[in-house]
Amino acid sequence: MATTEKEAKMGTDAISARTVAPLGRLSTALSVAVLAAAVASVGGTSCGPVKSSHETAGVVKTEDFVAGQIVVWFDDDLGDAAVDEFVAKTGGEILERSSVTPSRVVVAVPAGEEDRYVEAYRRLEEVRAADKNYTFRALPEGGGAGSSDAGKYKINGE
Amino acid sequence: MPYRILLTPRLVRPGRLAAGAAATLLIAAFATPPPANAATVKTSYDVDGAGKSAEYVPGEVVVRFADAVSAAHIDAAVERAGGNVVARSAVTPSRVVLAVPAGEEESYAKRFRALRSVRAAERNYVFHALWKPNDPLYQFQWHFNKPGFIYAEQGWDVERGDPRVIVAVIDTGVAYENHPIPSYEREEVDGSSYVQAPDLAGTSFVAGYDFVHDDEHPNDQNGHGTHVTGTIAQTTNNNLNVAGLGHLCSIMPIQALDNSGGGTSADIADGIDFAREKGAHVVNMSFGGSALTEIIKTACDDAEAAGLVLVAASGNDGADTVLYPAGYDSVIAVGAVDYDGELTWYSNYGIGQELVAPGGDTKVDKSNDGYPDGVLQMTYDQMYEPGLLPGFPEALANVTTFTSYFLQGTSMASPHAAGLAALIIASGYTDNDDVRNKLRGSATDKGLPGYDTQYGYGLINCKGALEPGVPEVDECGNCAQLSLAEIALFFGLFFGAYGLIFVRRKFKA
Repeated sequence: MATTEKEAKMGTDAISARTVAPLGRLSTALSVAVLAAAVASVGGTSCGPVKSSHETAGVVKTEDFVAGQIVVWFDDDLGDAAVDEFVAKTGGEILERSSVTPSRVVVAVPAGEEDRYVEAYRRLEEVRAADKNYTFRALPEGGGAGSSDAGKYKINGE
Repeated sequence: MPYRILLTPRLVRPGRLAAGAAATLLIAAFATPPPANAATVKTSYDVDGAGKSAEYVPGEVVVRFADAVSAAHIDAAVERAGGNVVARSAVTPSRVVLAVPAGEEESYAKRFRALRSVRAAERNYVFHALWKPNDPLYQFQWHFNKPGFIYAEQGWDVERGDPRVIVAVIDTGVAYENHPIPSYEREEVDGSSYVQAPDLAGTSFVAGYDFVHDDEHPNDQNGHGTHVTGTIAQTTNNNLNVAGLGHLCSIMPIQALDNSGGGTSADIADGIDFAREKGAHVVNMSFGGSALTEIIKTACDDAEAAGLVLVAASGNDGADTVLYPAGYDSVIAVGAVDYDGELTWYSNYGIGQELVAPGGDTKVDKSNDGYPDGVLQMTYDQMYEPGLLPGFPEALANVTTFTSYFLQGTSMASPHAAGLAALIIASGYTDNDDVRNKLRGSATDKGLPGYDTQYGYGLINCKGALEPGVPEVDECGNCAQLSLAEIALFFGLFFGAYGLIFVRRKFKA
């Protein structure tokens, strides 16, 4: 299942336009478009809040996830029995069924093979989304929620 | 929907761009449209030449005749001097409001002031209530009260919220109730029982859920979620502690992050789905990760399609990358600014940045109040702290005692935007596209003119966002506003490229 719509457009379009188009074959329109893209990228101005993946932004970060787990979201009208059947056929074992969206399940798979299983599930027409069970963190900068103490100050007297 | 719908004129901003139509872009750059925060036309008047201005009703003058002057005399005087009586004071009949040609108010006022029977005559000035919370520590909440910053007080004069508007806070939980600690959570927090934060006692809550432990009591196990919630809806004007921005709106506490502040996409997606199914209007997500996971993206897309407004923190790496879920199209990405309104040293930015809001900088005290410039809200006195150094084990959050902390982070910025979104909804705008456009269109432009990837559309502006009307803000609307340096660079590259083509053709020939 495609994960990006507009998400990747801004970064990939700008980069590919600049690197692929040979100068000698620039049409007027293309050159203008390329230069506009260059202006936007150099100046920090872009056309609205178009999202980008990390890869297209040129920054690759470590993606943390729960080893040995993937999350699979089947079509919402699929019953529990059908979900069980698909998992039995595709591989892995249901660890947890979402209480709010029962068509979404956490599936236990062999650690290190998460990507392979994710791809297998994504190939199923009945699957809306499948991914590793990624982890996220609260975002205070210093102080609380898993960060160092710096950045947190108590007020005295109320 | 139970809210009143305002039928207001749509304000059209020129300067739409077709993507790639760079020539149009260039022309539009010179025909610079009004700034993003010029959402409504406000008539003002220079009072004393010192830059002070006063708002007044265009086309109206108020004239106060002497008390002994009869109605017939007033009518005759008006007929001679000009204008039409449109209102006569019920309590003081010798004071009338006159309709005069717009733009000529002062000259008409002068004419009447020249009459001996007139005690006073001037424009019909507009005054606003100036409501301020009475919470004693509000004075340290520069992120709300700094003049000319996010205009929270001016916003509160228009709208302070509505309990029917629900903000889901997906976080480490919220200290919203007094509740025994379940046996399966006793190793995760300190204290004998979960206790409600005193300054959340008057806040309206609706039922939430704890997806970390699968129970119906999403009490805070860290302190982060309670602080975030305070920014949105701390009990306000209760003579206690601090204030919150959308303080009359309701909170739906949802725990998807554990006691250390971490959470999985499975639990977070559950939290988003829960908010959608249970009728939340706004979702705040003060967390992030680098993974563009389909699971959370799909949940966010579903929620947006159902009409929710989703807001998330951009990240604290100081990097040119907006984290997820803030990075999804369906989510409003919020970066952090300091007391001066400058992007903080830690705030992420980049493609997808949509707004900025106060996130604070606790390294400095530019507010000069004797405290670091963090965002001040109530939370646990002992928040969770990890054991980062040998010999210093992690400290669990003590869930029984509270204080006010200055914290910094995009976690703190995001709930400012979420709170404002809730106020906009409470003011009658129920369409999530309208809410988003009001947030964008009213934002105070920062950084490069127009949209830029550092500040997005700019700093949230409560006053502007709560004015009537929905500004038309398209994805490229503000790109027309380029700096001179950018225009010069554009021309340089443009003619440079043509020079190369010319030289190449010459060689071929």
